Amino acid sequence: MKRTFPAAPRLAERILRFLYSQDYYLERAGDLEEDYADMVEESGLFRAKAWFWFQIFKLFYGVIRKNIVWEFIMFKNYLKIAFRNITKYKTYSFINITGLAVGIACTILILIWIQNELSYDRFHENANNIYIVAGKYGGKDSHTTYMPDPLTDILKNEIPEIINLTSYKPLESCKLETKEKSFICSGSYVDPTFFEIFSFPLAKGNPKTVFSNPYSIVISEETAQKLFRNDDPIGKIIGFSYFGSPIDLTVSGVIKNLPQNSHIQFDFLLLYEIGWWEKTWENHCLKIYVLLHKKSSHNEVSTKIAAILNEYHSTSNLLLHLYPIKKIYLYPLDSRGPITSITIFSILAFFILLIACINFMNLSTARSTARFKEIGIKKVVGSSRLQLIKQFLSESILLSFLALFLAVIIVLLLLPSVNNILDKQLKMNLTSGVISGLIGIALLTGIISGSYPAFFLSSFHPVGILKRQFQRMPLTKRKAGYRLARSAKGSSLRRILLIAQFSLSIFFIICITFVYKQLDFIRTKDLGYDTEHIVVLKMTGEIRKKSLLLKNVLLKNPDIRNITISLLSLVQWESANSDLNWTGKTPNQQIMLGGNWVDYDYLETFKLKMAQGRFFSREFSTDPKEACVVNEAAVKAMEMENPVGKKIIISPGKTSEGTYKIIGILKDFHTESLHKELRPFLLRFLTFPGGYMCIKIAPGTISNSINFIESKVREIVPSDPFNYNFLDEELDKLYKSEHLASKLVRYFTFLAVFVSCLGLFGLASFTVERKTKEIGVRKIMGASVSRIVFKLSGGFTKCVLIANTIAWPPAWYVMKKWMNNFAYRVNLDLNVFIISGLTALVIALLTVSYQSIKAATANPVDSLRYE
Amino acid sequence: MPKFMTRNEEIILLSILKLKGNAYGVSIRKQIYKDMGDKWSFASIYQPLDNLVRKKYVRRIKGDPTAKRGGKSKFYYEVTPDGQRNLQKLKKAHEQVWAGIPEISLEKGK
Repeated sequence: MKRTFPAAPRLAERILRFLYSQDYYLERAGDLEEDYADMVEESGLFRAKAWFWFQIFKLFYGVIRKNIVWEFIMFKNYLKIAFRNITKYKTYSFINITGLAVGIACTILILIWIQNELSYDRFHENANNIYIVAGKYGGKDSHTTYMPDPLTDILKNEIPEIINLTSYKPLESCKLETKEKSFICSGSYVDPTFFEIFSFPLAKGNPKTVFSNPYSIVISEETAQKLFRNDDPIGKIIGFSYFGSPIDLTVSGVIKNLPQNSHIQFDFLLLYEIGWWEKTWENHCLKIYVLLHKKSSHNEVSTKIAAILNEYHSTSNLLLHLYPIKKIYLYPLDSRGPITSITIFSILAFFILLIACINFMNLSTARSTARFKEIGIKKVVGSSRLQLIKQFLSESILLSFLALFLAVIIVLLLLPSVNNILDKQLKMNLTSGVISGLIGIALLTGIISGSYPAFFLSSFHPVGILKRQFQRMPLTKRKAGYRLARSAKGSSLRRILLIAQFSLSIFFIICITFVYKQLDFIRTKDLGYDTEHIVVLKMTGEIRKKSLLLKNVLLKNPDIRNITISLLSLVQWESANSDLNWTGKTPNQQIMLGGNWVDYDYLETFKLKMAQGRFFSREFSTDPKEACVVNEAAVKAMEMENPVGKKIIISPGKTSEGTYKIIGILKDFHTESLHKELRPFLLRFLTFPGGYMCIKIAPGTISNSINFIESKVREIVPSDPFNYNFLDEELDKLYKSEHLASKLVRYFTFLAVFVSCLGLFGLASFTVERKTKEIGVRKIMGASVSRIVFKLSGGFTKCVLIANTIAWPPAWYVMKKWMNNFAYRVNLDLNVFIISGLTALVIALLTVSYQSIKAATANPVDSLRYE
Repeated sequence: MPKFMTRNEEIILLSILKLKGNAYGVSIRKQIYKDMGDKWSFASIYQPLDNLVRKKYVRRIKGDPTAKRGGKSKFYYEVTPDGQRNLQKLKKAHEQVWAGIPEISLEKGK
């Protein structure tokens, strides 16, 4: 007869399947079901079910208790022991935790920074499909993103993949004014499509209609705040002036303050149509952003665009392509982007974390001798190797979490000053991602730094540890014991780690020395002109027209030595022209001449020197119209002999053609940063309002003179804001990224050395402690203090010396690479290497000597009694 | 000297011995009920059983599935020679320890 049996609850079976492996599941579920079937018959379905569930609960509880409760109890015990160890060895714990905290703090800071750098321009909805039109000058490695105006229409009409495009013509130093207020800011001309391409949210106004009236202006919240305080700016009139007289514009929208991680920054936007510049193929003045169709490849479109330019404007030597805006911040076309510094500083942060981890490993292994008995007893009582590993790992993870806690505090304290240095607004947003990242870092450091001691310490044989008589043991056991003996001597690994630490530190020291030397070289290099006590007034609007008047007024003050007005700043190399002809030009000579327009006092104000000929002079009435002055580099580039008196024709055959006679050659001077070679340029006489006024003032009268200048400027143009700079400060700005790098590298070097020394201090104190008896015996036998100090420091000295030889080649290589960024640079002196090495040695010896002198001068009676 | 085990382990080991080849979860539990009048939960049978297996006093043998068990295999337990030897030693030790204690002194202790 075939009987059917009631099926047991399915969920319960599933729980069993979860609890046990297949074999055990079969047995246990089977047994339960068998009994269940009987129960159903005896006492009914309900009671049987209740019974079944009760059994499951009991089984579940048993498994939990076995696997988790006991683990938890053991874990509690590990933590207890870890805490006892921390409090017992306060110095070591302090060194460990501080070192790790510094390392982790560095890593966190760098990660926050990198996160910010990588987030640039990603917030646009179409970020993946927005490109900027970029061009490469034929054959040369110089790029531009400035395009001629006619190109926009061609792109719009001829290339179907381009869904949308906007012109973007940046404007600097414009004046915005209301009746009450005015200030200088920068903005841009854009097409009405701007808001369809970029996702800059508007606080007020509708993005689709803000530009329906051509004479409207969209301003940022900050600008609105400055001009209108808290009034509603919409519909208000703003006077806008760039060169020339102001035009009235109506505010039609307010943009929410721009995120700092956008490469486009502006205070206001105007409609491109109302701009009045020459819209020809020759005038490269605007940037073009295009939105491509999602499915089109930008490489294909690039080739199309390149072909189109040839078709329409065959004389252009630009090779056009599209460049993704997501990359434009990190990998700018014309200069080195922040990606280099990102790489460098992530490597540095990693190294500092590494040094801190090495500290941890070193100290733990060194301390291992003190914990042999503990391990031995544990093993004898029956602890497995796995348990010991768990214990040591949980100890190191506990330490790393304490360090993490400290690190977060350090980061929060340091963030404001870091922001100051980097000129960023970094924030630590404690999102779940960041928190899990932090915990990840702590776990990782804990595991990395704890793994060696964990595996190393747990590997000893208990008998070997407790008896300490390795030689008499059977061979297999002796092996484990041998390891112990070696570790007692000072494991070679520990020495290797110490050497690694110091190699890194020395590497840092060498690098920072060279960076300093190079920057100092730049600062003190004779640039060929006077940079001190020169005030630079950037003139915009009204003041430009009255600049000659201002000049004459200012010159009445005896403290003001000299004044010159020029169109462009001295530190720029702009207005370059390649459309040139000159006497003796061969057809294949192609050069770019930078240009500037200056007045008679240019030479005198900057104390420039003439190599040949003369400068513009009031005695020659023809100078303003037909004379020019070039620099030595230009003569060299044009391959002229006896250049004075020869002629240069600019834009031959065009309406703007001009012929200029070279009247003098200026000695070369560095107008740009020393990254670049000197470039040729040509000076013409300024016959129209200039853009910059450079005022040489007498030393020691700076504040008086500035006040005087300000009062006069106010007198002549009362409405304009007064902006000034010092020339030497302007020059320093050219090396902003280098100064930043040097500052950061300096901090990192300090940290690296600090953390290494912490570790060294810990190791030294440990060595000394272990050798107390030896030192006592030595002293009794007649060893002198100096001899003992020498003996104790000897090992460490050797390590540092080896570290030197390891650190030098990579330092040399890296510095060589870095120096290649500069056209003018210092030599890689051997002295620097030696001095850096010695510095590290001295620091190391000072660290060690505190401990060794303390030990050496101690009374041997005390040290021998210490058992 | 016998190797000591917990009382539960001892009871289960003895039950397996008594069941003579028909010892599996359900039958062991029934045997214990018969001997001691107490219904143990399965959890308190399996835990000592697992320990006994680990100490190599019993062997686990896979049997055939039955319909009553929902088509799941039985697992029989069998005492190993090691287990038998240890039980003998244990019994001897018990008897020696208990020897010389009259019933009356026990009752008084109550």
